[in-house]
Amino acid sequence: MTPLTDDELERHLARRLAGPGLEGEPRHELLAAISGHARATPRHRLAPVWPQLRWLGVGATAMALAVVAMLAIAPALAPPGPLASPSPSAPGNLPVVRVLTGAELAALAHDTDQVGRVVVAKVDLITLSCSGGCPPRTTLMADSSVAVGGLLDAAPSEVAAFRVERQSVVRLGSVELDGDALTWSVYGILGRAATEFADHLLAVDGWLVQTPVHFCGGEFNLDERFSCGRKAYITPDEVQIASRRPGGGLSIRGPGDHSLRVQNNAYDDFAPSPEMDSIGITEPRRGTYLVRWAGCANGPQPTQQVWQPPTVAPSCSFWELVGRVDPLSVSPSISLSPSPSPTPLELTVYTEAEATELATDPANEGRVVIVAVDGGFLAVRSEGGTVQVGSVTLVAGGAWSVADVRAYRGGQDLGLIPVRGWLVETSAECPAPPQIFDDDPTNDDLSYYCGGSWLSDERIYTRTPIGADGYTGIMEVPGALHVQAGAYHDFAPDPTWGERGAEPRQGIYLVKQADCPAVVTGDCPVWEMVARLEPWAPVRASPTSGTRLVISGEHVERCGSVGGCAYLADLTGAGEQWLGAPLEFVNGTTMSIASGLPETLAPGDYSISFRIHFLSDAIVVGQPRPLGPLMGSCTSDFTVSEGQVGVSIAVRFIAKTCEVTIAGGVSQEAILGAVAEWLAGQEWPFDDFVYVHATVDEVGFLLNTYGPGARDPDLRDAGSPLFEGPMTDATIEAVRSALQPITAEFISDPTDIREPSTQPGVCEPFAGGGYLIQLGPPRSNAAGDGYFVTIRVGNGCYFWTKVVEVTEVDGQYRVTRLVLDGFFIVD
Amino acid sequence: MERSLVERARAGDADAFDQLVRGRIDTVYRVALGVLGNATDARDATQETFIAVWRHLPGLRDADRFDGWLHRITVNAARMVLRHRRGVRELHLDPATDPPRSSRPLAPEGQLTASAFDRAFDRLSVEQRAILVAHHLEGRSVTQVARALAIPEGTVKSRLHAARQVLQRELDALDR
Repeated sequence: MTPLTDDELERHLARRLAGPGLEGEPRHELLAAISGHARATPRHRLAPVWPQLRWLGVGATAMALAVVAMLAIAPALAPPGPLASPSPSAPGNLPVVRVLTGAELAALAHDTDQVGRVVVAKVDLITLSCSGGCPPRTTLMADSSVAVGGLLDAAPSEVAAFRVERQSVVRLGSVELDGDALTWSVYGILGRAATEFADHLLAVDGWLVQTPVHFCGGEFNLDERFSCGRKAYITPDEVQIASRRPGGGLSIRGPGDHSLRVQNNAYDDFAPSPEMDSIGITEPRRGTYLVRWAGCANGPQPTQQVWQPPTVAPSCSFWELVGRVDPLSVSPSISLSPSPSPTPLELTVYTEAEATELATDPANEGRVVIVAVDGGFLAVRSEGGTVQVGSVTLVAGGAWSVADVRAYRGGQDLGLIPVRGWLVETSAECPAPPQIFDDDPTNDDLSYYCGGSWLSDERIYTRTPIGADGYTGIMEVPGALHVQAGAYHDFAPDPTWGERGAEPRQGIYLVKQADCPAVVTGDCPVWEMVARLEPWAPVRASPTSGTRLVISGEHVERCGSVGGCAYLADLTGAGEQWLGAPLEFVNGTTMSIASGLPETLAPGDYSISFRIHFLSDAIVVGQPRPLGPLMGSCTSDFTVSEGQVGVSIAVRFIAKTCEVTIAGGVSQEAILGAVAEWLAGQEWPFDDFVYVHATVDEVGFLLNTYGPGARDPDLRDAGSPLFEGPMTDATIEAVRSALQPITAEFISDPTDIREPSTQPGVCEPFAGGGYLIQLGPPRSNAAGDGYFVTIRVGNGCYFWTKVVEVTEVDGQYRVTRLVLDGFFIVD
Repeated sequence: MERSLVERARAGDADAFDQLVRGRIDTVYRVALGVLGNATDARDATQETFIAVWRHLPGLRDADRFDGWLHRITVNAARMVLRHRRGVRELHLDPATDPPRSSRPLAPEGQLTASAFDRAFDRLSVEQRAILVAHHLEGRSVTQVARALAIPEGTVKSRLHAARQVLQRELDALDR
């Protein structure tokens, strides 16, 4: 033939590379497999492997002889090595694995440390269409930024196995549960006909074992995965399938009658911490393994004439081991990216009188609420008074869902509609505007063209980062209401843009139909967003409601009079006076004032005095005993601020003297409780540390941010003060409103509050009093790894609370339980 | 940078290893595919290559020689895959049902067909295929191949020449 030219050679070689390259899913899978193997197989644990022998195609008898021969000389060939260390999986001690939620699966996909992990989750998948040339993609319903690959024939709310990759997951198949339990026993599987499990994965709790040498023939075989090679099994109990003979060589016994035959070398790929000694003996490894029935045998029948391989598996007990499911040591839900959503999701409807009153509060300026009026509902805006925005149509439950709005076919003009949903913004690159905009330069109505804002029932991320700088994005959000461009910026609470696009913001938004503009991306009608609905702040506490006065007395030492003494209180201030209010004994030492003093005080300056009077021991029946001479007194002045919650006055009578202590009406415990309650209301976790400076002063509770307005010089760093002033009901509410409203109940378990752990002499309280609350990313401390709320009482003195429960509430994640690991008192 | 990555991976840093893999997986796959001519086998060989790299990286004394070392591991992995594939096929082949070979692998006009080339190429040793792929498909110069394989340039030339001769001989045999 004609000599082959260089061109021909290169052309044919290039042709061999033609066809699907290593890209897309295959590339992804390959990278994940390699990465997963590397991470699951720390190098230092790998003992030298006995030279692998492959005797494919060799007769069974000859092979058997070769095996025996090699076994006999193996110890001489292989370097002496210690047997593997004891199995880390103690019998009966397997940590429980569970079915994750879609949100937890999404959280894992965003955690690069989880790449390669196999999990089982109950999820819904959605397929997002995509304009602009990008293909539709399947994502998790719980987080549309997580792409789903692999087998996509998922049923709704299906329990399936997934392999976690970077920002994506690969669906391995549906998982069949054992009743309500995720895991099966080997016996449980063998007790059923294998054909019942066709097309499903099973999670089986068992021991993975493997022969130390390659075998061929002499056993039922299914296909090449099960033919010649190092045969692997899942057994219900720990079985050491091979051991060294005292005189050299190996003793091998079967895995037992009840075992699942899995593909060759499965131990190498899936056993946790695989350990192999110098001649190939592996340590059994317990785990929860995902298996799929592989079929029935078609190979040769076993005979007695050849060396018998370990246990003849039942002819149909061939299983493909596809992954190992490990328990999660830390709840992945706390790894979810934060998505603060300060807007309460309950729709508040006001009476006209309430609205009229609340609208006068400057704090409510510009806010829109719903007001019930005769015959319907109105949206009104606070502008010093109420200004009507328009009539509103509510549904049962108040706000509409997006799906309800889209499904509405009533035909009537609904006017303004409050819709509860997630406001997002698309940011895909767009083609040039249509020609009509070139022809008419004055036509700037591109509000619904290309990138825009969308209101969705689902928390949708609209961009997916690719590589260092690139990204793909969607221009339409399926199933959402298309609202005007810029609505996200104007109405989303705390609009934030990140690498995944605009952070979805949940709230109740007021929209009205805007028909169909000349140019629109997506379908019609489109919608105009008018406002975000927020409850109005309550009116500040009325001065006339007064500050609660609490007086308590303690009798420490007798006054010396045989007949005892009289103890009286005088209060003056705010243009009034209350004199001679008697203190009575509640028990042997505790005293209180039953009458004679007001229960509440108006703002103003006051003076309180306590008097100790001699009493005669002469008792005249039926007659009051007159007061004798004044034996002692004590006085203290104090100020009640407007709206102050309360004032607490404590007096101690010691013989003929007394002491007065005045404190704010808010107890230390109440302050800590308020702090904890506030913490519980925060969206969790925090990407960065958040500092809140809280101080206790004489009459109240100050809370401000870590910033220039902070009292403590150490805290004047950046930011702006959040709040300053006495801690009143109104200010507590203002703090909550400014920070985040509490939308989930804080569950405080008193049993978790332990004894104070301050170390005297080490802890130096801040000079100005107060404490610093620090919230931030996960870290480690003496309590282990996790999320902590650190409360810094002073220099070198910390208390921390560990987040022990995070709960999903309407798609948001809230701290619902903290363990307070210390209780502090501010001097 | 590259040297640092290799050294970190050698020390057991899985992230560094990931970066190394991502930067070279396409090259390894192309070489494997060129040698094996089958995407599934090429993926297997690629995976085996990097698993072997991870396992044996501590034994690499000079990080600067990583690429040559990687190439040799790739060739070895391709060889192992080929052996396994051959063995499996031999086990299951039934001469009675083996499809008859074409008696005319060449096109009527004498042009070399793809199947003829592949059949001849698959009869080369893995080393011969690999050196042809490196030079004629990857476009590496003789010097680059020599450096990668840590062999003299003259050896590269002679091996290339020998591979071409064997390939031609196989093609001629098919033509007869």
